[in-house]
Amino acid sequence: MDAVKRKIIGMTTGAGCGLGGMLTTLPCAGASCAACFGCAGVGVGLALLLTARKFMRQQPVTSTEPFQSHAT
Amino acid sequence: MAAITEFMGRHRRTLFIALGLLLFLPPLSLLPQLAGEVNMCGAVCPRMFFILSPKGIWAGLIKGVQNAWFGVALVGLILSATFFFGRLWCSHLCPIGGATELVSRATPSRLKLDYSFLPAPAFRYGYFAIYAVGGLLGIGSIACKFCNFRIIPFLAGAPFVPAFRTYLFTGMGMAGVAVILLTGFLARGGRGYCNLLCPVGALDGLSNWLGGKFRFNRRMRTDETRCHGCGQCVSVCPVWALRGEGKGRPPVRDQLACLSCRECTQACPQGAISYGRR
Repeated sequence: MDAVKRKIIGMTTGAGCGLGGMLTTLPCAGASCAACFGCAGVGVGLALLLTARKFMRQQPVTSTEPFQSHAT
Repeated sequence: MAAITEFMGRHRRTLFIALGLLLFLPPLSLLPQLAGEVNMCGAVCPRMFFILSPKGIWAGLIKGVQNAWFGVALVGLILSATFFFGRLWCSHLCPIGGATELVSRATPSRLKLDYSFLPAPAFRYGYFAIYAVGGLLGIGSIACKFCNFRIIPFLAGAPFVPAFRTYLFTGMGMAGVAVILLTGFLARGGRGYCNLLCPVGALDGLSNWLGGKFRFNRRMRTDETRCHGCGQCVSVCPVWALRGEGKGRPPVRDQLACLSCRECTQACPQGAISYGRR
């Protein structure tokens, strides 16, 4: 998988986790909330992570990436 | 005396992390108490002030700085130190990442989750973008939800403060603990949260990258002529910043993820990894 695709998947997953966590926890405005919307947020995040992992496994990394060029 | 010096040398980072725990976390909370807090929320919060406010960016920023003055000073100090010397806060002093890393070291390997398949910096900046602009876009704020700067002090103070225990058993408290478990205590290296979700880590990574661009700061470097490509540095990296390129080839280091913790320096049998300026 080329570096740009990998970065796009990474950023999309990160933004998706943030959005998922944010939207599912909207009803949990206060610390006294007893509902488990927060856990649903964690669930959404995990689902996104697993999806990203599936993508990554299908297309293994093959080359060094631009942001790593100053590596050594 | 020599034994003590050797012990200090070998466990230097662990000792610094322990110092961070003593300074910032309950029951002592030595530094937060200077700002009248017992945890890392309120005036000590290092994460809220840069969230873009729907009531006006500058007005929100000014109010955030006023409310969290101690946290702002702390972040200013962290970013300046990183710009000139590398990520000393994240690797050595952060009580939150340090706590999860210490617990993760004691977690059995078979229970550990490996997130190294993720391109961590890209993920982190995607999450950071939503974190910073969520309020401005009117889709809410994720600041305190899942915040490990909130959950870890609450966990540390739970035996002493009944209100902390009560919070941890609410929906948000349990969700926060779940996030810490999954990305911290059970993560390989214990730094999953730092590498994927921490907004201060995101800013710190940028400061480190900028410092590197201006050739100011120190950073980890691999001498490719000495590296045998054994991969030991890859296995000890807590933030999966090193990626093995194959047997016998030097690993590639992602400087946006690298914590400058120097675990790889200690692990390298060839002494090929050093910390310094170019």
